[in-house]
Formats: sequence, structure tokens, C-alpha cells
Amino acid sequence: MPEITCPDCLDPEQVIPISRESTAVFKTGSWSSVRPQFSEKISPCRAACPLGNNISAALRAAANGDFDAALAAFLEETPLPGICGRVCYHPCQDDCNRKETDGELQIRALERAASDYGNAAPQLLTDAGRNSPVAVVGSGPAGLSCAYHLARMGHPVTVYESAEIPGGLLVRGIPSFRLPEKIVTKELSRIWDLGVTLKTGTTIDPAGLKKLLQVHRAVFLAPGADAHQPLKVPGELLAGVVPGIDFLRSTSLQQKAKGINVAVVGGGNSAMDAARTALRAGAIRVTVLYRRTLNEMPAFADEVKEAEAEGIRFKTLVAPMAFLGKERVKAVRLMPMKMSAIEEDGRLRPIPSEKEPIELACDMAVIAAGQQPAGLFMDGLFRWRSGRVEVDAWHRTSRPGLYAGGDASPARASVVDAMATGKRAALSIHLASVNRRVHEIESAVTLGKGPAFSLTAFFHAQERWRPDQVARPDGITLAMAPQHPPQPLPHIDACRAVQTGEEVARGYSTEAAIQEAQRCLVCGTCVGCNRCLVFCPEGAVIPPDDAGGLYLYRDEYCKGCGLCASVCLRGVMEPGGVE
Amino acid sequence: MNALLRPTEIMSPGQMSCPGCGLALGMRQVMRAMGRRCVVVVVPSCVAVTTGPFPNYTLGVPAFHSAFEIAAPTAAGIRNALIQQGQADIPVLAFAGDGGTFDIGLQSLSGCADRNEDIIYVCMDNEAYMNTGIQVSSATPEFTWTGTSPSGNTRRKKKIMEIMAAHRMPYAATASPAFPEDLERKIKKAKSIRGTRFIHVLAPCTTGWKIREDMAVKVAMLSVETNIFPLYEIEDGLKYTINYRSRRLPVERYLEVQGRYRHLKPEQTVLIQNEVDRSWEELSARAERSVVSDA
Amino acid sequence: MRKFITGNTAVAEAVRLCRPDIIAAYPITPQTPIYEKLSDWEDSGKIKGKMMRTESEHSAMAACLAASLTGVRTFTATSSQGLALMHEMLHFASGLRTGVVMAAVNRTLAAPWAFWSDQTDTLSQRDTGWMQVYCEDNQETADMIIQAFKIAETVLLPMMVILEANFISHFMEPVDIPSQKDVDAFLPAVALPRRFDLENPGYVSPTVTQKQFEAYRRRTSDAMTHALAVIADVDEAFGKAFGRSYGIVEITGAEDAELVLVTTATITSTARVAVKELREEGVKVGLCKLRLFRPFPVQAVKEALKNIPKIAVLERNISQGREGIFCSELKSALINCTRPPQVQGYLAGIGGTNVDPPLIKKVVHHALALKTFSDGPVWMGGDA
Repeated sequence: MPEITCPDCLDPEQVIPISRESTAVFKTGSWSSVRPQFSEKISPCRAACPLGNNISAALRAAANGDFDAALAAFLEETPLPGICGRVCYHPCQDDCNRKETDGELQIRALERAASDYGNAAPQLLTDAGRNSPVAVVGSGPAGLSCAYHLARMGHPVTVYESAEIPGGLLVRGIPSFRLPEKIVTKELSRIWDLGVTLKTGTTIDPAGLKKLLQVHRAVFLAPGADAHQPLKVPGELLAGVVPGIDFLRSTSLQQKAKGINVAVVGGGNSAMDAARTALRAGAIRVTVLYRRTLNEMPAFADEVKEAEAEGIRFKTLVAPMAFLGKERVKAVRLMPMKMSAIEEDGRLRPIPSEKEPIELACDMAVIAAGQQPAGLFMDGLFRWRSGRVEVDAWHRTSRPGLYAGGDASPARASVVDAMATGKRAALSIHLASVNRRVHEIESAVTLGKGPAFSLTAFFHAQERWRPDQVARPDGITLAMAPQHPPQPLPHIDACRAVQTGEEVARGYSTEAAIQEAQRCLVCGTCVGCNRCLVFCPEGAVIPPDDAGGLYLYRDEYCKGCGLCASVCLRGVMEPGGVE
Repeated sequence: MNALLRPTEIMSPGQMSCPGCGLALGMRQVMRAMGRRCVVVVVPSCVAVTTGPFPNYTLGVPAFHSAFEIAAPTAAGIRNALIQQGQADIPVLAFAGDGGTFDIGLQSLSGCADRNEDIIYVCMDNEAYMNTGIQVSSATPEFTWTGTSPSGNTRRKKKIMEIMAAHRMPYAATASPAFPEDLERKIKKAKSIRGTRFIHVLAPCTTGWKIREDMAVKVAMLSVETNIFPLYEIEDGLKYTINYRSRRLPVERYLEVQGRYRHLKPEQTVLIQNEVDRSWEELSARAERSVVSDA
Repeated sequence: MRKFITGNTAVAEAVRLCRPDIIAAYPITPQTPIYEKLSDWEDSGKIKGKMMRTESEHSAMAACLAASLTGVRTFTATSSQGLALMHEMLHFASGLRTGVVMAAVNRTLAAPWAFWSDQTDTLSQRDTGWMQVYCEDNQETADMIIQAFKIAETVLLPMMVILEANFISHFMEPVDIPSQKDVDAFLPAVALPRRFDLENPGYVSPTVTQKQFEAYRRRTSDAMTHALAVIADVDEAFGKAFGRSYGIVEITGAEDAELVLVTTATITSTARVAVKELREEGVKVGLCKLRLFRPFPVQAVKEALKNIPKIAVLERNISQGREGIFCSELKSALINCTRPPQVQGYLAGIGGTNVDPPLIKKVVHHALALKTFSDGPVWMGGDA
């Protein structure tokens, strides 16, 4: 056989083209200057929460069955998860990203589960406040929250409470079928365990306040607004016409409702509480009278629904003109109302209609149409406005060293909003005590557009975390998440509820809580799901070496298409900024 | 939260596909499931473009770029040769586009399926001839705009799965790059079966479908959730298994995000919906009958 | 062992002896007996290789070349329409430097439809980069199958062994079929490069640049040139092993010839009879058999014919718009001779018409009498 005399034409490697090099030499990243941004942000639930609770972290822990860690996550921003987990109006749920797909996460019930099943102690943040003692006047939600956060920042705190037991409206307003007293006691013990001093049965008057201001670095004034606001109509002084606050506080008053017709005037939570309490006391008929429509009642929607389920009647678009009776009320005369086009506080104003007044027979009328702060401090110690203590955005009153919050200040009348004022005042007080200005740190701690903020963010900064940004994956991205409807909320039926007066909401079992928590997408936080990696057509996403690390892109190969961002269920990977 | 497993990449980066290419993503997912121990056949299509020019290529395994219409017999020739050489443990996979499968390659694919050649055939379907621009193919759905059907396609998409099922080969399945775990499972299952295995992947094309660069996965997801492209398997041409019960979103959700459907009239959308519903009923019925005959 | 068999059977026997690994084919008259015989042997295990009964010739060639790239010995057989259908793949097979061997049975190419011998089908694949040899009889066909595997696997270019429909494919002649032992000694196990190697992965046949393409074409061209030497050596070795060799070009009676008749394939064997008779009649005519067509043996042809004053080329094909293809190729081979012979082309047997000794003698007399040689062919016709 002939020798190969021309190697090229017979050399197998030379005679046909065979690519053996990888395409990795082509830096296709140069095709585009657009790059994804890996940026953790906050979840919409957290942005909506007045306390800025780290809900996604808590739910993520609960999803793994770790209720201890879930509780610890809540305790970063709130001292009373077991309470909010029962009575909060859950603005977090209303903004949940899953709302439009398979239904919002039942966050309130999960906060309760974290508190019911978890064990954790609050984390101390610093001892920088150790030389700045603070006094807190009032042990309602606002005062408790303020005391808690101040104690975590090292401040010695003393809480002054005029009643014999602490808790304010938590024990002397919200009925036990919504918030059992033993739960309040258990939750509050968390605060006393931090070394906060409590002085019950102690009323602070203006002189006492001045003294407190002298010996403390600051005073937080949160006496609440539990003075009755009368209707100022004829017959209001008849026997049987009682202020709602008194009714809710006094079991002897409540017992008088047994076997009779009760009318409740008002549309807020107090009115709902009063009506349901009257029912449990044995009233044969309870009617709620409200001057606007059902939709406009300020009471939390859940409360209204439960009240309706229990058989409470509602008469809307009626306003009491007078209470009728000789010494004792026997009926209320009502003016039928209609909605005018004129606004009052941002709502349409009800005005008397042309119809004839009507009368409703009743043996007791509970007035729960508004509360105001007691007049104790209205003597010029500090400025008031529209019946509430005047405060700035960081709860400073017109008097140096004096801060105010809760129902006494212009805040929404709810437990969580009151707690938010206490927390905000605590940071305000602390910063003043260490000679820092609030506006220096505001952007680092404000969640979303505010006013909620994260105390943890102030003390433990996170790389690549933008608290002002809320994670909102679009509808199609969310449609890629597996769909499961919410776990049904267990509760006793309305009949039994009225009969026994026991707590109505039962709380999830641990299994149900885990199932529900697993629905949480953990918006805004990277959970290492690897979707960005799996869906990158270029293989240009670099996973972190360890858990909790960042996902990065390979600049040489990323074409900036944004597929990684389009599949990110948490909204952490964002499309295109130009590098 | 379910985490997807970190894949082992077989394809190298630096490939020549358009940014956000659904087909390149599908290829990458297929290769992850195949692993390094295989031979791949590629024919003219966007698969070939993605693979890269001499002397660089992305596939990472021994591969061959053959002519347009003969992916299947090429793969079969290699597979039979490997068996003759005593290398029967090396699978051979052919990638082809919809043109090379539904149109010009249909005969040779049918011949292979008929002979039950031992290959895995993956059709990366972007519903037109995209390598050469945007020209209509028999995989283009009705009413769709392409460069050669500018008023909307007057023909219907060929039912390739029904055609393949008629050959009674061991395995045929649809798969989507938006459902990577399902796709991986199907490739791995195909690897374990002998005979002709056919996988039909619907691969959204950013350029030809006129969608934004970041939309390919979402559009693929919508194709499944609207039942336009259901995920199912056919074994031995007779046993149908539906792998995913979609949410049955209205077809508008899928059509409205694509520029190639911008011209659609409302009555055409209705026709599309009716056809999707009818096909789904038929598929469901087949799946039900399969369960019955299994019992 | 000597057998009285058709050309098709001879092909099949030779293929069997070469131990093919992959055979891919599609039936077409007059190739079918090859296909059926091989199928039969594959089925019974006499052939250990795998038979792919593809659904078209195009797929058959696709499968063959892919298998050849994998590194195994491959074979196919076809004719006429089937060969035309394979055209795209023929370019692929040579462009990718495979060792595929094909038996191509010359049959008329439609249209119009017909089923008899005509060389246009293989000749119109002239430019596909395949080596081509035109066989005179059943024995040469069988022998060239064996030689073709050796040549193709050495040169890394595919090879067509061409036999005419009817005259070779279906006519019975005595054929010497060698023993398996002797063929194994002559043609060892296949050693083609294995292009799909997991240890050294690569992507075969990517897109190349203009300059790269030109370089590959240049290499193939060099390989074709080199093939001439390989073919000659293989033929010589075959002669030593089996007692038969054919040479690149065969020429007889050229010493004093006034005219040499150039023929190919089966016309050659008829021409031998005609030339013998003419010589006996005193006509000074020689006979030149062209067998190797690609690579075209320019030097051997020049050597044989450079001093012959007149040449007549008789062939069974036409390239429309010019003339018979062997004639054109011959003329181009001789153009640089100091005194190129005059060449006249003759066409006969197109469509499978009978070319008998009287017709051939007529051609010779016609050529001898020519005063002016025409540039176009002379149509001689033939009986059906």
C-alpha cells in the first residue's frame, strides 16, 4: 500500500471541519449593556404593616415548621404577635401578592400560630440607651410597644398605669371572646421579662408629668382616648342609656342586658364589641344603628361579618334624634339619613333625608359612637389640635422631652397603629438620647413609602437590600407559582359562640399553619429556588456558594434578556439597568 | 418552597441565539437531562445557529450538523453504527426545528419511526422557519402572522403528535421550557426506553412571535395554561397520559402578549378558543380511555 | 468458487465478503435483487451487519454517511431516480470524506420513463466528489466492489462501482467468488476515523468561512489526485491476491492503429468482438477501455492515445447541450498534447437500445472515412 505522501489531504483531523473549541470564547455579554439587578426588597405585606413586621421571614420559617424562628422574626418588630394575631385588621393580607391568584395568605392567623406554638426571646439591639431612662404613661398597646423597643435599645423604662391591671383597651375594651385575658397576660410578660418596671394603680397628673420630665431623659405619653363622647341628644341621661366604654368594662352593666332589646349606636369596633357582648349577656335582640351605609362602617370587616353571623341586626342610614322614656329608656327616635355629595374627613357626609322619623323600641341603648382623650392634660402643658395631642412625624410634642402616641394622638384607632406610634416614638427617643437626627437614618429604615420602618434595619444593615422597594412580581409571573387556596380558618360556630362566650377564632393547627405558610412566596427575599439559573438560556447565572448568598450574572455572557427576572417569583431579580 | 435542583450544564455559554431565546433555553434544558454521554445530531434550524460557527460549538458532546430534512435517519445511522461497534450504551439524540420535522423532514422521520429506530428525536418548534427569517411552516397555527402569511395563516397547525402516535412507537411526549422538571423527567424517561422516542417542545421565539426579550418563559407557561399546548405523553401510540391539569385560562391571555397576533379579529379569537377546547376534550377523552383500558 | 450468476448477485456476494457493518438501501428496478439478497443474508445472520430498510434513497445515503462518520463500513445500492434523489447527500458524503461504497446500476433517468441501460444517471453525479469506475462485466463488478472498500477507506472518499442495467445486472455469467479468508486477508477490519468520540468530542460539519471552504475543497482535490496512485496500487495488489487486475486504462492494438475506438462498460465487451473482426478484415483499429472516470486518469489516457491520429468515442449517454460525457472528458484530457488526436464522438445505446458488433463496425468505418471531425456527436441509434 502506498505511503501517505500528502498528509494534509488524508489526515483525518484536517480533511473535514470539526469544531472542538467551546463557544465560551464568545463574550456574548457584549451584545447588550443591559443587566439584571439582584436586589432584595420588602414584601408588600411588610410595607402595609404599620409595624413593619418581617412577615416573609416569619412565614418562611413557619413553612419549615420552625415556629420558634417565626416568632423570633415577629419579635424583631413587635412585642405582641399573639394579640395582633387575633385582633389586627390585617392590612398585610389586603396587599398580599397572592390575592388576585389563589387568595391572600392568612397572615394574621399565622402570626397567631407563631405566638401560640413558638418559643423565642426578644433580641436586644444595643445597650446604648442605658444611661437614658424613659417613662411611659399608659400601658395600652402604644405604651407597651414603646417600652419594649426602648428596653431592647438598653433604656431603663418605667411604665405608669392608672388601672390595677396593665393592657389598656386590650383588657378593658376588647372583649375576651376576641382576645382572652390570659393571652394578654402571656404576651405582656415578654415586656416585663426585659426588665421594664410596671407601676399599676398610679395616675399621672400634670404635676406628676412635670416631675417625670425632670428625672427621665424622655417621657412617652399614651393615656389613650377612653373618655366617652356623648351624642348630645335629648334623653341621653335616661337610665339604660350607657356609654360603650363603661358597658365593655363592667360585667354588672353587661348583665343588665339579659333578656331585653338592646340598641347600639355606632359603626366602629367598639360598637361591634358592645353589640356582641350584649348578645352573649343574653339580650334577646341587638340592633346596631349607624348613620352611614354598611360598607362605610369603620369597624373591621371581619368583625362586622361575625356580628352578622351571630344574629345582630343592622339598621343603617339612621341617626338618633332622641331617647324616649320616663326615667328609663324605652325607645330611640331615629332620623333616616341619606348620603350627600359633600365630603367630611374624606367621606361623603350623611344628611337628614325627607322621610319621617322612625322609632325603635329598646330597653337599653349603648352609645359607642366615638371616644376622646380624657381632659386631664388639657391645661397648656403642651399643644392640642382637634381634640388630640399635637405631635410631629416622630411623635415629639410641643414640649421638649415629651413624646405622645396611641389613641391620644392623631393615629388610626387600632391596636397595631397604636403600637406603631409607640415604636416610632421609641426610635425617636433613642436617637435623641445618642445625639443622632432622625432624618439621617430615615431612608435606611423606612419600609416602602412609610411610615412603617424596621428597627432591625437600623441596627443590622443588609447588603443589597432596598427597603424602599416593594416586591411586586407581575400577574403572569405570579401565575407561574403553584396554586393552592388558603387553609380555611377554624372558628366555633356563631350559635355556640354566643352561648359560651369563649374565644371565637380557634387558630390553625400546626399542620394547617405549615400548609398555609408554605403558600407564602417570600416576596422580596431570595430563597435560593434556582429559577433564575434554570431559566437562563445562556447559562449565565452564577448561584451562590452558600445558602443566603447572592445570585450574580456572568458579565461576559449575559445578554440582558431579563428572563431571570421574569421568572423570579419573589421579585428579587429585576430586569435591565444599564451597567 | 420547592427549590429546583442546580443543573449540571452541558452546553457552554457564548452561544449565538437571540437574547431571551426560548429555543436555546429548551436546548439547554434537554442537554442537562441528557448529560455528557450521548451523540447529538443537529440540522439547519435555529438549533444550528445557536450551536455556533467553526471552530467553536456549544453542545459539549460529540455532534454532527447534517442536512435539513434528515435529522432522523442521520441519528439512526449513527446509533446503528455505534451498536455495531459495541457502544450500545451511548444514546443518540436528534434536534430539529418545526420545518425540519413537520414539513421537509416528515418523510424521513416517519420512516425512522416506522422502523422503530433507536433514537431520541426532539423537535424544537417555534412555529415557523425562523432560521431564515420568519416564514410560514405547517407548524404555524391558524391566523398567525409570519413574513409569508402576512394576513394571517390560512392553514391549521399540523397535529404532529397524532401523526407520531399513528406510528405506534414506544414514546412520544410534549414538553415546555416553562416546566423544566417535567421536561427533564421526560428526557430521562426517554433515555431509558428503546426504539423511536419523540419529544415535541414548543419554544417561543422573541423575534418571530414579536414578544419582549423577557417573555419567552411566560408565553410558554401561558401556552400550557390555556391548553393551547397541553403537556402529555403517548406510549405505544395508544396510552395517553396528561401530565398537567392546566388552569384553562382563556386563550386571550396567550394571544394578547404576542405581536404576531396583534391583527386578530374577535371572531378569530373565538374560533381559536373553540378549537383549543375541542382538542382538549378529545385529548381528555383519549386519556380517560387509556386509564380504562389499563385496568 | 466459480458460480454462474447475475451481476446483481455478484455484487451481493462481494459485499457480503467485505463484512459491511451498515447497509442502508431502498428498492428500485434493476437494483432490487441486490437489496433482497443482502436482506436475506442479514436476516439469516450470514451478514452480521445491520440492514436499514429506509423509506427513500435520500435517507439511505444520509444514514450511510452518518454511519461511515461513526467509523463503520457502509454500503448502499441504487439506480436512476434513486441516485438522483440522493444527489444532495452524495455531495455530503464526499464533502465529509466518508468511505461509503455504492453499487450504482446504470438505468435511464426519467423523463420519459424507461428501465433499461443508460449511463446518464451516474455521469450526472460526476461532480459530487465520488470516485467512479465503470465495469465491463459481472466479474469486474464483483472485483471492484472488493477493491472499492479498500480504496475508499484509504483515500477517505466515497466510491461508486457502476454496472449497467440488464446487461450486467440481470445477465448471468461465470464469476469467480473468492473465499472469505482471502478477502479478509486483502481487506482487513475497517479503520475509518471515529468522528463521534466521547473522549475527544467535536462538532462535525459546522459552518465555515469562504477561505476555509476553499481549503477543504483543495484537500479533497489533492485526495482525488492521490487516489489515482492508490487505485493503481490496490489493483496491483488485487491481481497478486486473486489473479485478476484491470489496470487504469486498457488499450489494445494501438501500435499501428489509424483509429482507436474508446468505449466503456458493456459496450467494451461487444467492441472486443467487433475490433477482432475488423482486424481480420484488415482495418487498423485499436480499442481503448475507459473504466476509471473519477478521478479521471489524464496521464494514463494521454500516454495511451497521444500518438493516435484518430479517435472515436462510443458511449451510452448525452449531456444535453453538448455531447457524450466521456467524449468531452477525453478531449479535455488530450488538449495539451503536442499534436492532439482528432476525436469524434458517437452516441449509441442510449435508452438501452442494442449495440451490436455491426453497429460498432459502422462507427469505426464512419470515423475512418471522416474528412472533417465535427464538434458535436454523431447519433448512431440502435435496435430496441
